[in-house]
Amino acid sequence: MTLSDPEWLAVLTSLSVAARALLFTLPVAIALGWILARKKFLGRSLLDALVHSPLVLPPVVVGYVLLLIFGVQGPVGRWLDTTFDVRLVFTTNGAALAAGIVALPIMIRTIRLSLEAIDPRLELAARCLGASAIDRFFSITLPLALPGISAAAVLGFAICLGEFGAVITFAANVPGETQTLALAIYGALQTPGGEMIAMKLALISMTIALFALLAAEWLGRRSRRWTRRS
Amino acid sequence: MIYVDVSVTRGDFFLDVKFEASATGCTAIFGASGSGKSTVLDLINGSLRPDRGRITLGDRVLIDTERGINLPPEQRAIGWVPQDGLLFPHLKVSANLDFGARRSKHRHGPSREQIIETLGLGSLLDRWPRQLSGGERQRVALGRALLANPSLLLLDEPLAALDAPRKNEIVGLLDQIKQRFFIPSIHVTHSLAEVLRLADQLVLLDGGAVIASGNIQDLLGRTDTPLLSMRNDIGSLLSLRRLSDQAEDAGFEADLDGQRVYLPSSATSIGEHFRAYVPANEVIIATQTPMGLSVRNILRGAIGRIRDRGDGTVLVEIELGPQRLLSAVTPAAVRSLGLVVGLEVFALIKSVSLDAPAGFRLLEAS
Repeated sequence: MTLSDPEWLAVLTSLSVAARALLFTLPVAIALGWILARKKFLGRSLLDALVHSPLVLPPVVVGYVLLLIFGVQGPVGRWLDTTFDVRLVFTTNGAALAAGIVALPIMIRTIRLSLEAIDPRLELAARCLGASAIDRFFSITLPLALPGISAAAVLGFAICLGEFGAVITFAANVPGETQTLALAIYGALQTPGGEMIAMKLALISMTIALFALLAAEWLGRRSRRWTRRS
Repeated sequence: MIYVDVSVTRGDFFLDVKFEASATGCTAIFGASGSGKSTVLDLINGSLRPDRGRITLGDRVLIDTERGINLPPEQRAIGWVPQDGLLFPHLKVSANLDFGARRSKHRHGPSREQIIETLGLGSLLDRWPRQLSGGERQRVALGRALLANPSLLLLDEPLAALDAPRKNEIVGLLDQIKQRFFIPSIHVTHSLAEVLRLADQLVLLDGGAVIASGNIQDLLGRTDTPLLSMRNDIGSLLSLRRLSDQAEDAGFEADLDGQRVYLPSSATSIGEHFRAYVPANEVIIATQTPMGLSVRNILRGAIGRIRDRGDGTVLVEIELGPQRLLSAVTPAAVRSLGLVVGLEVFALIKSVSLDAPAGFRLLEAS
């Protein structure tokens, strides 16, 4: 099975979008997962509902909301444009933002579950041994949650690779910039005689997705094995 | 001096405790489950904030709600050893041991080598916590706490999850830690045997309040100590000094404030002081000089107190000079012998009933 240049470009764009998306979603997912797992505060349910909303909203709506906020006319979009000369719409970074937002709920959930599986008394034990809050987070909490965080990263990567609705709405379908695998498949299907290309690209996405799920499952099992015994 | 005077409400549980403990040796907090023992430890290690009160350790104030002082747990230098050890599962034994040591500012007290040697951790250093047995885990947890230079050790039921041989092993180690490293400890337990083996001072806790506290021998030798005097395994803890070598058939001699007693065996050497536990059920009272008995320990004393426990037994407190011995008899025996306060009596104890080191046999049985 050989791939033509435009097809390769779609695969590489997908990988680039997913990698960039992970770069910003992972820290956000860890922070939000930790807050939701450990902190009790007013508005916690609201935050919980908010971070889960991309899961139940149609991705097109997510893309549209992003356009309203980060579009050239949107409040954040205009600020980014005038202060940093950065535009997100129609760019790879924009595609990454859209895909990342869609992947975020699953990632937060995975990380939160792995954090909740950690016995909080382990952190107390570390505290009694003289570890400060930041020290405890990096020496105890993060390493113990690492299998869960890796699982979240793998899943998030896979979701970003395949995200369609939010990406096409916010970042459009620009070959080499925002045309990911999913968009390329859609494009091929719209073109007469493009079925073979669509089939090839579909096989590639299936393979990547399957590997990602297997990896996430394996990392999740490791996480449980670690935290069950104290 | 360790000073604790705090109160806290947790749901519908109200705890209000006040006690002092000496800055050396082991203080046992003894009580049934639900009496608030572990809560007291949470208050001392700082994971729970009292509604009101003060805890001081020597001249260090750990918390004083009136003066607005509250040291966070990481600044209290208190070694907390929970029941399950709580080793960090992602770190090998050696890294677990060094966790606190690397974070403690000043190094004093026992060295790493001393602790590893005393606790027998040398062969475990390269293992993961999940590869350890319950007793090994407990030993590592102890070592980890000791290496962090604690000014006080908190032991929360450290033996509860272990089988009898492991219990003995850990008790032996705790004894050694006490004697070698001079770190004061507060030991929470619901086991009388553990109290007898380890404690110098006792705090009796019931329903979130201290019902008695003080020197362990004073509390054990009395007929009216709440919680303790109603137990059927209650007895007295006697302070003895070894006089002779172990004879092959006769055990050895020891001195009890001028009177002689004979014991079957002990790990002590001549001249050393040790404790022996005598269950009240195994002490016989005689009003005349006994003759022709196999009992070798016949002690003279005067009855200090008599208390009917209301369960068909009477607890008699016999004063042997400064120390006291408890004997459990039936009300009928009290009547027929005419036992009254002040009466001079003989207390008979079989050598094999004198248990040394204290609590050893009870511990084996539990």
